[in-house]
Amino acid sequence: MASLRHLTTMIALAGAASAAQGQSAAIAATATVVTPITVTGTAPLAFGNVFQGVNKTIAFSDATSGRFSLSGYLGSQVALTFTLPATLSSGANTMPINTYDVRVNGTNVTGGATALTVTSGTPVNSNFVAGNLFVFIGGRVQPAGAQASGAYTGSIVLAAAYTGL
Amino acid sequence: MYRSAAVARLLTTSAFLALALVAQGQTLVVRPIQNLAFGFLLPGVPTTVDAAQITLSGQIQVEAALGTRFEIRYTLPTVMTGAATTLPLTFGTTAAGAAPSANPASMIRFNPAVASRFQLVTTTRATFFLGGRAAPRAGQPVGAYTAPIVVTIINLGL
Repeated sequence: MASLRHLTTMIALAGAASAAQGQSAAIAATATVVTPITVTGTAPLAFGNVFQGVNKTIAFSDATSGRFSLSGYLGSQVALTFTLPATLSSGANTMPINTYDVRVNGTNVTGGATALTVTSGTPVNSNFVAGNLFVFIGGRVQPAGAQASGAYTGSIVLAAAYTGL
Repeated sequence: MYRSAAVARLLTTSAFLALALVAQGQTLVVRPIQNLAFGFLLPGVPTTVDAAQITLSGQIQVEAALGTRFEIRYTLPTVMTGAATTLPLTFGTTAAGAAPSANPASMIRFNPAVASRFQLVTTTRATFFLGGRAAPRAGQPVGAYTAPIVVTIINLGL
């Protein structure tokens, strides 16, 4: 048995409708039009020359730290998803990269930047307080004692999506 | 108590009239539950909210005695306003739904542009859900947009 009966086709009650008083409730349709988020990789995380068996760390505040800049709707919340490689590659050779240090700031300076606890592939929240975000990434490479010489690279990917106001 | 005509016939005339007046003035409560929320929209990208999207659809609740018949009429806007301009808004022929609970899974779809009649058969509350489609233009200015949706319920009695 239906709990709520739709009476659209019922015409016997037409007279009663005009005699009865209506009650109203108001709700709203709401939307916020926002600018698309832009993400730009502005500088690679560059370790320069490294030596076999000697770890090398680049701090987030170093001149050769990795950097992204983002723009978005003022005051909106954003989920940042980093894909961080576990190794750098040179042909068939690999070299571990780890201990990432990721910071964000509303202005393009490392002073006062906020640390993000980042796990590769897991969104972490931030917001466009002033309509822009700047991301600084440090890290560490660990060349093996017999690390083959060559140029090693890996891709750091940043994806951003609005999550609300 | 008005389900059986036999019961009414057993009452005196005066009592019957008194009860009839009570019936006509039967309390029916309409409550706004939540707005129809499109969230973030990008210029040039239309977005549809379905009535069944429980956290986004516009919702009202109607409460009345068992057996109450009523008519629902939506006053639907064609645009939302904001940022000194408008944003087109449309409603499909199945954009509305009615359910005997707050769960849209069992809702009956109907056209919100047309007055529709319902009866509370085994429940004293019904929830009405409303979806819609917002279509920002390619150059739609950023900002917050809103439009009123008025829902009128006419109590048709028991």
